[in-house]
Amino acid sequence: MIKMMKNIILMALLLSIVAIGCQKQAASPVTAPEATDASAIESGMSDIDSVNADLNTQELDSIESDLDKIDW
Amino acid sequence: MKRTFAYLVISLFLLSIVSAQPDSVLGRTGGSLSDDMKQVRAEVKDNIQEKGLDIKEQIKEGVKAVKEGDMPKEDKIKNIQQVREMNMEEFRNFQKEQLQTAAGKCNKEINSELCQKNIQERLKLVGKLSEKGLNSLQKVEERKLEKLNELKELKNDPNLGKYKENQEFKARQITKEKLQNAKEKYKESKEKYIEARNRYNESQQKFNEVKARVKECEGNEDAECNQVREEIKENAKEFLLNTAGNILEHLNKVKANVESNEDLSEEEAKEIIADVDLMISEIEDAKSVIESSEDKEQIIEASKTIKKAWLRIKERLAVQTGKITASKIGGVIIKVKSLEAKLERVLSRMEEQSIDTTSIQSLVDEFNAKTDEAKLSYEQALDKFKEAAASDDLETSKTLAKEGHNLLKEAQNSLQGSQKLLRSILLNIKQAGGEDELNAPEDQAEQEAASDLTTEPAEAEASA
Repeated sequence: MIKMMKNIILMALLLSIVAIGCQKQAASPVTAPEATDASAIESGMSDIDSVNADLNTQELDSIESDLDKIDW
Repeated sequence: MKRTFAYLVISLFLLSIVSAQPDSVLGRTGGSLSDDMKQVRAEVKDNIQEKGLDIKEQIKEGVKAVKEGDMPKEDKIKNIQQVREMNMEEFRNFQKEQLQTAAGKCNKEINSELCQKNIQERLKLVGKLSEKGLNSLQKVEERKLEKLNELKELKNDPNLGKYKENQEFKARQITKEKLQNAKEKYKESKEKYIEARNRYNESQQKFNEVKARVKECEGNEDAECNQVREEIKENAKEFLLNTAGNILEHLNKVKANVESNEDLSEEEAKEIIADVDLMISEIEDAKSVIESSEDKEQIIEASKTIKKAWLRIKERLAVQTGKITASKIGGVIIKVKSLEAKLERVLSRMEEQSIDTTSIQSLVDEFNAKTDEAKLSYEQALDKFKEAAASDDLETSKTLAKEGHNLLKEAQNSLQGSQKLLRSILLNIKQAGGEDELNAPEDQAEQEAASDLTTEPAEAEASA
């Protein structure tokens, strides 16, 4: 009888843990709109950096002086 | 006995499952939604009757006043002031009316029942708020209204008005297929530019090596030296052609960037592409001069032609690339501005739950100030680019374009500051227990109801 009670209590405990687990899972949202907004801003910022790098004419600045040396 | 225990365990498990369901799904209270709504409406009505009709009129006046969306800014602030001047019970009723208006719009939601349920919960929370809690909520609501007004004004902003909320804050919509192709083209143009740059560097190095050999051949007329003298002509031509190629691939890269850029309006994109096409044809013309050059003099003349063409387009290009970068910065500013209003909504919901948001509000104020700094620098940069484009003097145009680029850098720095503050705000909201509010889906009904408060009169009349 005591063994049976122990089993039941153990089972109750396990089932409670499972239920609490389910609760936690249900409470955690899959998507977070605000976080998505924040990440949209982060990606926008890195987009600015890459555009800056792509459109930079710094590499072409040497062309003028390079062309001046064309004489031989 | 065994059976009793078994029932006990099963009951315990079922109870756990029931409690595991989110409130938004099962709700915390029983009774039908319409009954709840009726009850709250009756409460509001009773309150109004108790306090007299003048309060209702005042609330209506307050709402009507805030509705004057196209009024001068000073008047808007004065109207928000009217809401600010409501006493606590007037404000409580005002809030309830707002929520009821939102509830009335719940049928537009996909999950209208959930929308109704959430609003019911919030109506109860507002009903239970202490005077202190109401006072805090009132302050946050004023901030929220101000932000919504600001956001509405941005729709008519000469620079930021092009980013449409219904287009995910893009200035133009490019079809998915077209955008995919444009992005692919942009990627290819970047690769082609790198190849052209490498060819340029290699041909320059080769030219310099042969140039050194020509120098060694000074006064020497043997066959080898004569061959080197012939060779250098080809090397010089190759170097000049690769110079033109390098510039052309850079211009193609700029063009491809514009084609795949949704932060530029259709007109802006067309205007930049037309100008870049002109630049391309100028370099192509210079390239033809290089190709047709035969002797040393002609080659040196061709080098002057390409240099002149490059100098002519360089400043124009600086203005156009400035506009492209500005479009990206503007796209981020408008998203941050929209986020400012959303943050106030989150704080308002937290206040409804009696969560103190004072310290978060200070961070939000800093965040807003940084964004305003970025907006100001962005606007000043655009002015500089306009002036530079209008200037006929090359030097003035160069200076203005440079100032514009520096201002864009300042705008970018301010936005980086906003970004850091945003991380801190989100963390603080979570720590204060507002994570659910932060993660809650956008309530369209509430947004629309709040938007009605700041709707332009013509719009409001039409919807009425």
